[in-house]
Amino acid sequence: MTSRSTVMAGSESTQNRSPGRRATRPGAAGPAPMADGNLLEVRNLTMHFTQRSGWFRRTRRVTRAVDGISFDVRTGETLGLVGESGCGKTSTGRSIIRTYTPTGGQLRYRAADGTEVDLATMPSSKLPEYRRQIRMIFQDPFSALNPRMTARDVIAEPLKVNKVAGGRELDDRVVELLRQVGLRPEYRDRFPHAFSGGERQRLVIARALSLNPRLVVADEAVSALDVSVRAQILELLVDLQRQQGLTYVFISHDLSVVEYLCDRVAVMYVGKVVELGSTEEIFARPRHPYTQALLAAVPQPDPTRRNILTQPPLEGEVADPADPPPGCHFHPRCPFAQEICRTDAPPLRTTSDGHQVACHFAEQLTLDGLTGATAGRDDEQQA
Amino acid sequence: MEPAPPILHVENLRTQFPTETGLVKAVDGASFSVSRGKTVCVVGESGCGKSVTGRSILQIVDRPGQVVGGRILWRPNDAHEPTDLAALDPRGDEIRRIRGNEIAMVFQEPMTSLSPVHTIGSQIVEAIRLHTDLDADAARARTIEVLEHVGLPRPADRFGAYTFQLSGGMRQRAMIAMALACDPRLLIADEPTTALDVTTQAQILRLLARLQAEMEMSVLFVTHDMGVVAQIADEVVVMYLGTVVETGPTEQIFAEPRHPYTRALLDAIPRVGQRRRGRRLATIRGSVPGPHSRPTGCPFHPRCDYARPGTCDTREPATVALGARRHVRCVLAEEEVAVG
Repeated sequence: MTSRSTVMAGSESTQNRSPGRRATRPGAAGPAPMADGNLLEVRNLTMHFTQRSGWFRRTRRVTRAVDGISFDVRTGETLGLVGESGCGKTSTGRSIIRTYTPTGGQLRYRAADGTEVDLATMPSSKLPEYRRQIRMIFQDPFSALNPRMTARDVIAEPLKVNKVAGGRELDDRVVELLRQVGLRPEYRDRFPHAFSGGERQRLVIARALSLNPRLVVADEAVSALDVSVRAQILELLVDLQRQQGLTYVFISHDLSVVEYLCDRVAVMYVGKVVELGSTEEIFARPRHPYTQALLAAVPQPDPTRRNILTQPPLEGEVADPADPPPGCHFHPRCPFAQEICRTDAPPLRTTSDGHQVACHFAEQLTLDGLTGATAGRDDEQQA
Repeated sequence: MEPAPPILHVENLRTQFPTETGLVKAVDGASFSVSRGKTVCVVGESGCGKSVTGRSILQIVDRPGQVVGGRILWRPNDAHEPTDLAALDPRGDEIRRIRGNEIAMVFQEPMTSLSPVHTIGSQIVEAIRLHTDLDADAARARTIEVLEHVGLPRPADRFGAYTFQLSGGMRQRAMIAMALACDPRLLIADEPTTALDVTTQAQILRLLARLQAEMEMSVLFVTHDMGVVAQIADEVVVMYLGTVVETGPTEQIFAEPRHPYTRALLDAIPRVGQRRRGRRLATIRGSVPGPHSRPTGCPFHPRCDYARPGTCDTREPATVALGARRHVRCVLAEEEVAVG
């Protein structure tokens, strides 16, 4: 993270860079204007990784990590991206911050000055401007920080690189950022090893915020933290959003955290969005069998409701994105699969109530969600 | 009627690591027991000593750490006198007979206990032949049987598979198969589902519950996830900085936590619909102190909302019994018992 060039080099070596292979999209000359209130519009985004092997490296194996997804990120909201590992959440996040160059589709972004730009096709020379506005928080606060840089250097580096502040002003800004994330400014000369896991994650957040970003992509930002510290960091993210009007794309496999933090949730499975809707709807009334299976697998912190040992779990494993099953990718694991699911891939469509789902039988199925019963009991206790 | 003696009784266990920077008391006087055929969850945050407790029972604490005090009474059947595992030589024959045979262990990361250069089958065969007098063919048949038992598809084909050919969930199943190959009476599971997706976690938890019921095995399950605890535990042991702060039946721990730390841990979990009702997550201030800066008195007092200056920071609270199989180590509980 300390060296941007390393990140870029790493991604270049793994992805398909041949210019001719980029799919030309219809109407590329004049993209439709962005809808009001949207900060980012993802349209048909694809991120395919090509591995070559064999005689003269002629065998191609294409991993479709992200395979034509579309969603909006509204200004000021928190959008959750959930799914099992290997479903393309992280590749989506990395495409948004352009550490990966998408192999197709658009990332329409409304810049700070009001202009609309496509990040997916933007040449590298123009990217630094937008990298100031879109920042990332990584999962592991132990590997995201250079052990040989003090807290001050860690936070000051983006400010210096982008020539935002210098000298006295730089110092003041570092102190201000440390305060914002709840760290004592006196600690600014300490090295990362002197901080606990939660404090390191605060440092990572301070660094991400140093350039006053507008969009923050948080990839499993609280997954490596202990329960008590996780609660602190979640509340910090909530406070920062309220104070600074931040927009978050929150990538996580932990559904209880997503339920707490996010306004809307996109559920991904093998490179595709299978369901998208408000958090309340997704959790209370899931429409896609995969969403329902994910919810059913969350161990409820309530011994009177033992969901894990009483319900049959989702069997099987996530399909290989290089060789997904035909039709609906979820059909081999789906208890409701019919003949059509084996042959026809269901498109993501909007149901009558504005929910988006990619399932042939979304209207016919009645799926159980998670209810607030646990929380209700909790209410009485605390009252 | 006198209740049956527990299969495992840990009493005042102390495990320490003499390091260059000072003595680390990883486990500092932990006491709890595991009833026959039950699942006991040891829960706590990183650094609370829960993993070291599990390893101490098998005497596989990483060097330079060692069990320096307390008793670990192991009683595989009621008829026999218990063996004190804490008194055994960690490299002696006696503990080796128990380790992997009567008591088995599974870990968070399957790759730490499975060899990358041996096939799954040969590793399990080795474990079986070490502890039983089965010949090579019988051991092979038994291996395929346990692989099938843990739900590995096509077990006969997978006998010759290497770990890198299996997915994370399948590796975890292979490791469980190895642990169960010798029909252990107690399984120590150290965060076996933490690195897995929720869906795979649910599969493994169900598998463990089924195997436990079939084999009448006791399970000591180490985890940091209160959700998992609520789902599988019969009893809970809450640890903080090497001490057991609270033990009790799962329903009681969740419905009526008595130690401020247990209460704080439960309040820090997001509940469905909580934010929409405008309620923030309760946070515990500060973080778990480092191993060299252990607070005096009650180890939790610097983070405790109920701490009393003059009492909690000066003396260690006693562990008081609040009922059958219910213990709390807190000054507040002490007073309650004294008054009541």
